[in-house]
Amino acid sequence: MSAAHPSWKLAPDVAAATQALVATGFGRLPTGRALFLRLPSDCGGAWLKALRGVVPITVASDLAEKALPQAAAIAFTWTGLQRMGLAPNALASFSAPFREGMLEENRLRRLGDRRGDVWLDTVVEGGPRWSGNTPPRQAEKNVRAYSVDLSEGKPETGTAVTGGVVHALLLIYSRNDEEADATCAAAVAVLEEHHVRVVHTQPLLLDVEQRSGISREHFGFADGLSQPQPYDRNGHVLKDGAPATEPHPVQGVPLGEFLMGYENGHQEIAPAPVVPGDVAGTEDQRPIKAGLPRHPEARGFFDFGRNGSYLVVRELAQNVAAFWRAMDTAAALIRENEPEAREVTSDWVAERVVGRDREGHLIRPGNRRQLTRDARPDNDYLFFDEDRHGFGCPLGSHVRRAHPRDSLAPTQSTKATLLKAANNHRILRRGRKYGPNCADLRVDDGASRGLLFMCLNTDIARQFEFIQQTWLLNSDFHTMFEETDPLIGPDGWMTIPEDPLRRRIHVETFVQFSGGEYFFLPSIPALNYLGQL
Amino acid sequence: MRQTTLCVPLDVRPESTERLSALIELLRRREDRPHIGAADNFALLSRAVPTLHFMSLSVFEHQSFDPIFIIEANFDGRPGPFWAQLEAQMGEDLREMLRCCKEPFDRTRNLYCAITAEGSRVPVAPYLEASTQRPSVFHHGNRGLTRDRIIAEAKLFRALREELDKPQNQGAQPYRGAEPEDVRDRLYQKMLPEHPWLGTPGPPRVSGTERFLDISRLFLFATMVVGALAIPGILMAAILQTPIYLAGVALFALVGIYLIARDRAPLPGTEVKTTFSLLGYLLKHAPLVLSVLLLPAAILTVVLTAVALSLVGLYGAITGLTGEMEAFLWPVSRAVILGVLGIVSTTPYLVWWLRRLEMRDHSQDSPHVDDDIATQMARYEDWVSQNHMGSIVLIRPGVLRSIIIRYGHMGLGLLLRVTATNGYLGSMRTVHFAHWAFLNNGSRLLFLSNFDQSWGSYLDDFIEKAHVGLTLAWGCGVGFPPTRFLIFDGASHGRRFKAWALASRAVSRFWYSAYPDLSVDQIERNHRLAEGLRNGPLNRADSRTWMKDL
Amino acid sequence: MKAWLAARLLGQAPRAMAVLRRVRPVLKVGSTVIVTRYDDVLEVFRRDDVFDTPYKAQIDVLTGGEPFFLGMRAGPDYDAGVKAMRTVMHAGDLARLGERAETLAATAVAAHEGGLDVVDDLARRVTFELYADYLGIPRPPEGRIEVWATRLFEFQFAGSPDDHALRAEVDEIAPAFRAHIDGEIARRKAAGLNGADDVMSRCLALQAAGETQFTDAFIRTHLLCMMVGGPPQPPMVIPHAMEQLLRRPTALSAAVAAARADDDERLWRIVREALRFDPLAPALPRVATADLTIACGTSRETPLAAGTKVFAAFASAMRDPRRLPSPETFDPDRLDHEYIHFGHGLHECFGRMMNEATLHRILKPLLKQPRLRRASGPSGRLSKNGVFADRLTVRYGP
Repeated sequence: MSAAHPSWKLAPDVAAATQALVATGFGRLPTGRALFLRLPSDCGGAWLKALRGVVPITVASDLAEKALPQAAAIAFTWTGLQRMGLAPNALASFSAPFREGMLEENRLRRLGDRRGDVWLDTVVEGGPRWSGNTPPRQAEKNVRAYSVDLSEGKPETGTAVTGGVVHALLLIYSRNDEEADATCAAAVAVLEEHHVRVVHTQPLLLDVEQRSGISREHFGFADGLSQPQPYDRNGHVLKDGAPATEPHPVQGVPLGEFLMGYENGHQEIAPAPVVPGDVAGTEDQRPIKAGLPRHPEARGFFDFGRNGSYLVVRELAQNVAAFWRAMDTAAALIRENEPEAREVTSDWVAERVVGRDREGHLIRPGNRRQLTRDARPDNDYLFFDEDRHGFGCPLGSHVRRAHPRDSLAPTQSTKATLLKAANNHRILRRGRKYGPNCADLRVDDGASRGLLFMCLNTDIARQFEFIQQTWLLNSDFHTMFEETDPLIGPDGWMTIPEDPLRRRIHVETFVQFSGGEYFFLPSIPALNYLGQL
Repeated sequence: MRQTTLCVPLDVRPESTERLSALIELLRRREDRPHIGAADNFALLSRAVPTLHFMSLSVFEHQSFDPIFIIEANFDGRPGPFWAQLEAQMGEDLREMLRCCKEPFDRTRNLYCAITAEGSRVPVAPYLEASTQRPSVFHHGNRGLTRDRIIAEAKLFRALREELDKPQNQGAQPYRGAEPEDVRDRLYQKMLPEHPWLGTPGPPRVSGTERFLDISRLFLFATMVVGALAIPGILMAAILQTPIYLAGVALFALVGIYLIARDRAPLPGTEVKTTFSLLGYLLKHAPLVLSVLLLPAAILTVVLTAVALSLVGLYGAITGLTGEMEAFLWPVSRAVILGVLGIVSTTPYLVWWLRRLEMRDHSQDSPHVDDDIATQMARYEDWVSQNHMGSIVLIRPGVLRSIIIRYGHMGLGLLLRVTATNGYLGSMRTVHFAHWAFLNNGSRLLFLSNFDQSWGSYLDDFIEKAHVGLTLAWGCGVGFPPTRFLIFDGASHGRRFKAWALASRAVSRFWYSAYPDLSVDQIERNHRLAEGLRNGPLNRADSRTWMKDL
Repeated sequence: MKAWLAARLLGQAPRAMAVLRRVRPVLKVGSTVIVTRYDDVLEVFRRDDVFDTPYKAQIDVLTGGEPFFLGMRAGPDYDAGVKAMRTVMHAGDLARLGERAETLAATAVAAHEGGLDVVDDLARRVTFELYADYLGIPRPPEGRIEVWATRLFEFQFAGSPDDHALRAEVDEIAPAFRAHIDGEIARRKAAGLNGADDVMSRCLALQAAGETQFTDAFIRTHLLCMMVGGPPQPPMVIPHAMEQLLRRPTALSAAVAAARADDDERLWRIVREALRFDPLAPALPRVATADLTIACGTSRETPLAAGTKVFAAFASAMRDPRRLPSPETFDPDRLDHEYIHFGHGLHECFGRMMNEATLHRILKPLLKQPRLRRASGPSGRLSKNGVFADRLTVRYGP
């Protein structure tokens, strides 16, 4: 991951209160574990306090020059916070997506997982295995005077329910598997004392190649290359030791997009949840002891969200053999009809599906390749001037959909506006792969593998969900018609623009959603507060 | 092709609101369900009302007024035949819905009673027609394309795609290695039998007459505005000597500009920096801006002088005093010319007045949104890649505001007719049919839109790309986020603007799109392809450009 | 001279109606009102609770006082009458009727080499043969069934009380016709029920099965009224359609193409559209049964006293640009609601389905003829006798 070498830091006062996961993906810790926890009812926060005694949650200020031997992060679902006994008015102050959960019926439709009662092909058979099982906000419709009942006796579809219930996610990052297992064992021992069960575990793999310095996801492509560069007008972000108050021209995104309490893309303070400052009329000492700041707008409340963020987690199973076999078929089909198209190989097709070559370089018209000074792929590339029609990086390729940069500008004069608009929909990616690497990319060895997609954002609807719905799975994206993301979308077609005539290839479902939820990644003071519950 | 956008706003009997919503829902269930043997949703409605592009039925509930039922329709041609078609398909359903509405107090009362009486079989179309509200501003994304044409061109697109995707057509011949103009010609020959309309040129989207009228109306409007702003100047110029008048104008202008400069800064915490620069915009569009100012000024001078002289002439003819006409020519035209110049001093004062109002306006940062309503809204959304929104807001009071809203909307509407002819609204190309309309003596503003993608992304487009126009058109709403000089900030307050817009929305219970799978962009693409075939043959360069859309 | 004047006036009717629609959509002359706009025509047809058909008196003369549903108001009796007739004349017969109509028409065309009169040689001949067989009414030994039915029809729908000559004629024909049907009923009963599958035998079978509604009088009355009300109409409208097609070369060639392709659905749409320009009659009469107001709440609002005779000008309504898109354009793809030439509401034509199955099929063999064209001279143009088509001679072949 490029986060192995983050080029920005949080200012010291912010770093001291923020979980390190916000600032880094722990690129120097190649392995780890994701422990999905289920809490008993009314469990309070004692377990958290005890856990932190054994597995300290890494603080951003711990990220000294010297490499950490181990790191950890923790995040909670809405139901988890409810079980820990967070006050109802606090629970109600979180943003709507978090309160409703990822599996709310209308959200599932927007995310391309389910329509009505039917799970789509991009979800594993039988529906996702785990979620927070967040209850619907409005369990029963209010019956008013003159109400008319049209329910036809059937209950409305409502939120989907999964077999596995997850209330918290503990992420452990280690130097090797032995250390990871040891830390897990220690954590599990403490958790069991408090009747907290680990319901699901996934390894977290980040195998950086020595030679190239990149890590590859299971399909074989360099991953995690394009990350936003946070900045903050008030100096809370440092770059090369100095406050980064101006945006990077291409990747610059305000800190408030990833961290609550700071100015966001709408030039306001990213909204954050609160906790009450008093209980039954008497002042509650816990927020003060925890170190939570007072909320600037809500008198009598403490800012529970500042220096925290929302962590979107989606477990995505990858079918590597199916992917490469489909690439083989597509390439063979083209060459069969057009023997002169010798450049069209499986790799050629796959690179166009992804939008980068396997080393991470964006595909450019004429297959040009441009390296930056440090020999890393150039990520400050803009599409409008260089590749407006997608003759290099196809308009519908995965990376172009995931971050169109200035590509959607209709005219030269609107480039800047559109780039800025696109940067209002960015996420900090923190995903890692799970499962063993493939020995042979074209052979299905039956092993379960995939990506534990994780990302940080403060406005889930405008950032993560927007990218998923309006870019990746949008069938009208960029004047295309009836096709979605070729990599993570369902079976369908993909257009590869060429001058003068485009090609179209058939793609299948290579990635399936097998579990996920929206989590809250608290600040250190917020963790302290939760520990006191 | 003439296209109509209209709405029918009807007050609802509060006790019958739920019943009305249920009727709308039942109608949707009946129409939106593919019946046996039909492939498409709304198949019956599509066939019964072949002119219809988009239609919605929704009930708006608000704390400040009784619920209001809005029928929105966007269709080809004139309203009369449309209403007859709609009545034939769902007349009795509409009649029962109308029975849930209040009896009007105006002249349509008898009509209402006649059509809603128990057992009445009188046609309902006349009442809907009589209650129709015309939009104050409207936008047609694919202007001038009839529904039939949109659907036929989409069918052509699919046929082209199928032809190009045939396995036997993947090699160098017949298409991939051929010269662009041959590719076009071959495809034309292939498509012609199934799409015989390709053999004849299509009617223009906007006819010459329509275009001429659109532009004339805009200039007429600009002339009226210039005239209104020039009245004080003309009166003063008529009685003052030129140097004194000019000095006065300069003095007043300077004071006015000083006042604006003094108050121009945003109120603390309300500024949103965007890439939009007014000066840059005006410079970029200098020819347009100048022509919209200077031409009307010239017209005004000529017209007012002529009117004044003919009045003098008339007076002379009546009183028998003649021969004095020439003597009036210069004084009159001098007064008008100088008066128009006086705009530089009247405008700053109006702007400053407006700024003072803005500085004292209250905005609503966190309007209440009912959870139940929000869930219901979401339940009807995002089934296809198009969506619908309806919103009603209250309008801010005051003389200046009222004038600005009325004439601002009129001007914006006329400007859109002239400029928005290729689907783009700024850099947005996601709006199919949208309109604003004033309700209840202009005290409320209705907004209805049929757009591509989700509501969230639509609002983001407004915030990120069209905030200037949006602030101008919607900034008059009570509670709108703080604005500056009518166009700044406002809608750029992303989250606040979204919250405000969400709170004003209604559940789109019944919403119909004639082509739910086609985006504005795709319709334009299909159209380019169709025109390229229809108006061929093309030269090599044009053929090559044309092929990019395949 | 009078006939010529009437024909000229009728020819100018569409133009006059257009003027009326604009300046006086609800025209009141004494105790008679004519409505010309689509909305108002629809209103008159739909409000069958207050607008009666003025046919009862004449029907009583025809039936000898027996009730028939055309003369009734909405209610159980009306429903029972219609329902009974629908059980013996049902949708299952339509395909067969269509086939038969076409076969008869083909025979008729084949019998006239080089040309024929659409009114007599084709429409009248085929229709009466078709429906006499279908209903099960044999040819009377004395008199012609066409003349009987047509004279009674004329009396029924266009007759004037002052026309004593016609009344005298009717007073002779009607009893004879009734006796003729009674005779057939008696003959069938005597011969047993194993007869043809026609309407009369179905009625008699139901009677035998104990359906009390099907008395001899009921069967006689309804068969009589069906014979009088039905078959005289196609000989009026088929020539109208042909005339309208002959006036429009593109429409005619579309009709010829559809006929040659045996595309009955298309051909029907073309014939229906042709009839929109010249339907059965310019207007249908109704009588207000109570004091009421029509076009209430509009600028044309008009109070009507009970007894007012209202002419619903449905021909005009079908050309009202306020409700029809481009009404002067010949467009076979129009929607159903744009056609009200079978009337509308309670008294909508009982034979609508039969007409939809047969009218175009009767024209089809003619349209298939090569070089179909008008005969030269006045006989090549549709002439009318009052509202009745009189003659339209066409030629075909070399």
